[in-house]
Amino acid sequence: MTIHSTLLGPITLTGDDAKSFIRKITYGRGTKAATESAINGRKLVAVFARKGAVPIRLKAVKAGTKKK
Amino acid sequence: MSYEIRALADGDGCNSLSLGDAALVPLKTFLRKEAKRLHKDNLAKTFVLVRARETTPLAYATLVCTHVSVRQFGDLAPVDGFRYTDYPAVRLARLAVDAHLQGQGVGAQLVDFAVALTGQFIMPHAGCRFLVVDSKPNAVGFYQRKGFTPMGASEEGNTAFTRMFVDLHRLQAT
Repeated sequence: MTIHSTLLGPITLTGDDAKSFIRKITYGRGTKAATESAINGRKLVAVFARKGAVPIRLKAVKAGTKKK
Repeated sequence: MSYEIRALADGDGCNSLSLGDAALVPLKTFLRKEAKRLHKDNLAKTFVLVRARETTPLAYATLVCTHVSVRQFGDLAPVDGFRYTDYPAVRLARLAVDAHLQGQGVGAQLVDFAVALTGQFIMPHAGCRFLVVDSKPNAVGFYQRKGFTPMGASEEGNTAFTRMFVDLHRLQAT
């Protein structure tokens, strides 16, 4: 079911979405993608916590790659 | 050229972001008109990517406290003894990258930063189970590659979103 959303408002789940969500958080596991994101993020946040800013290296753009 | 992520600062010039798509104008408007006030008032916190030691945000992510309200009851049986109807969470409320930097991993770094910032600094001290995002249809694949799972549909104004989440609790020991 589609729920209206606002920036500072709550997130409401109903019906099948609610049931599916509860199953996912009861039985789900951290995915490999989420784990990799967290590992990289922790490195960034560790530097940010010490220095107030963290250097970021950008990926090189391949020749001929169309930018979105 | 070197870049850095840091918190939005009062002296940042927030008028230059160019997103290259008319549908993304609200993201540009938010940074220009609302982000600093919400940041200052501790209602929503914005982190920006800038060239090192410069003051022009070229990308940003905004985080805000929220909660997931589960209304599963009624004609549906409770699932497996589930007891709670509200879960504390943080919402990745805004994410935008200047058109000239798109495709270079900036959005991915900002999401990783948000996942870890919430997991390392909020969840352990205040209780916060999820990082949640309302994804535009064309960004669902991006968030799935970052480990987000769909949890339903939402809309803000006339725009439809796929609501997605990461369960931070599952990432604690990784």
